[in-house]
Amino acid sequence: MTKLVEWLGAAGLFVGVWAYLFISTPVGHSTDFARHFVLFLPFYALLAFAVISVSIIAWRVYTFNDCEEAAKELKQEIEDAKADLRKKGFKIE
Amino acid sequence: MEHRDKYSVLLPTYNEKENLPIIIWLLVKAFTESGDDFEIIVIDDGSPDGTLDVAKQLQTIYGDEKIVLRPREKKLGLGTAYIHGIKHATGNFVVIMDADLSHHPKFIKEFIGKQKEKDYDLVSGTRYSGNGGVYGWDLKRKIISRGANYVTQVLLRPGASDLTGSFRLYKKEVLEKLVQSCKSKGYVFQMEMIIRARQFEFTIGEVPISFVDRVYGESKLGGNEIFQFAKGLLYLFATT
Repeated sequence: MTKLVEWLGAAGLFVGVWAYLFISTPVGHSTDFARHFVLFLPFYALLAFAVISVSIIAWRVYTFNDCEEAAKELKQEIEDAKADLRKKGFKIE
Repeated sequence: MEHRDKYSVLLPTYNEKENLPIIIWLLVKAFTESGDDFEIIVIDDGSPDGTLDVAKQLQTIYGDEKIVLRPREKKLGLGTAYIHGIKHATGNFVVIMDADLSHHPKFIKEFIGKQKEKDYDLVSGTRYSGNGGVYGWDLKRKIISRGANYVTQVLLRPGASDLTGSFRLYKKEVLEKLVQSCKSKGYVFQMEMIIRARQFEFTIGEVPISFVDRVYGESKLGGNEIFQFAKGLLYLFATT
C-alpha cells in the first residue's frame, strides 16, 4: 500500500464517520452549536493540524543547532592541512 | 583467515580543486587515527578547474592504493557516480559524502561504531536530531529546511530524521541494491535511497553530524530546487 492509498483510505474513513455522525445520529439534527461543530469538524481538524505544524516547525527552527565550534575547528584544520601538504611536496596555488 | 573491514569512501567531485586536498588530508588523518582500513575513490566529472590534476598529485603523496581515481568525461549525476565508484571499490563498506568540506571525516569513526552496534545496513548522518546541526544558514534557509523536512516526515513517515543528507555509511551490497532501484535526482535521490531502504527492510542507524555550509552565500536554494523537491516528494508519496 502506498502512502497515497493510506491517506485516501484514512480520509475516506474520516468522511464516512463524519457523514454518519451528521446523517444518522441525533447530533446532526439537534441544537445549533453541536450541529455547527460537527459540520465544521473537518475544518477545525485541519486548522488544529496547521497550528500544531507551524508550532513544531517554529520550535525546530528555534532550536536548530548552530555549529560555531565546527566551523572554527574546520578553519584551523584547513591551515594545518595546507602546511602539512606543503611539507609533503604538494603544490598549493 | 580473519576478515577485516575496509571502508571505501566515494568522493564525487566537480570543481573542487581547492577543497580536495583538504578533504583528503582530513580523511587520511581520521582513518589513520581510527586504524580502520580504507581507500578514497575520487570520481571527478571532467572538472574544468583541474581537480583531476590535484587528485593525481595527492595520489603520488598518499599512494594509489589509498587514493583511487575513477574520473568521468562530464557531469553525469550522483547516482551513476556511485555506481561507477562502487564498481572498483575493494571495501566491504562504502562511505558517501560531499567533497566541499561540509561533511567532516571525524564523524566516520562514529558511523563505524554505530554500524557495529547492531550490524546496521546503513548509517545516516543527521543534522536534525541529537546534537546534529548546521553552520552558515540564515533564518530563511532554516525555515525552508525544517519546513520541508516536516512535510516529508508527515507524508512519508520514513523513520529517519534527515532524508536529504548525503553523509552516510552503507554496506557495499546494500548501496548497490539501492542505487539500482532509485530513479530520482538531486535532493530527492538521497530521500529515495532511505525510502527504498525501508521498503527492502534494511536497518538504518543515525549519527548526529555538523554540516558546515561554506557555499550557501553563492549557491542559493532557488525556486527551481524547491519545485523539484516538491515534485519528487509527491512522486515518492504516490508510489511508495
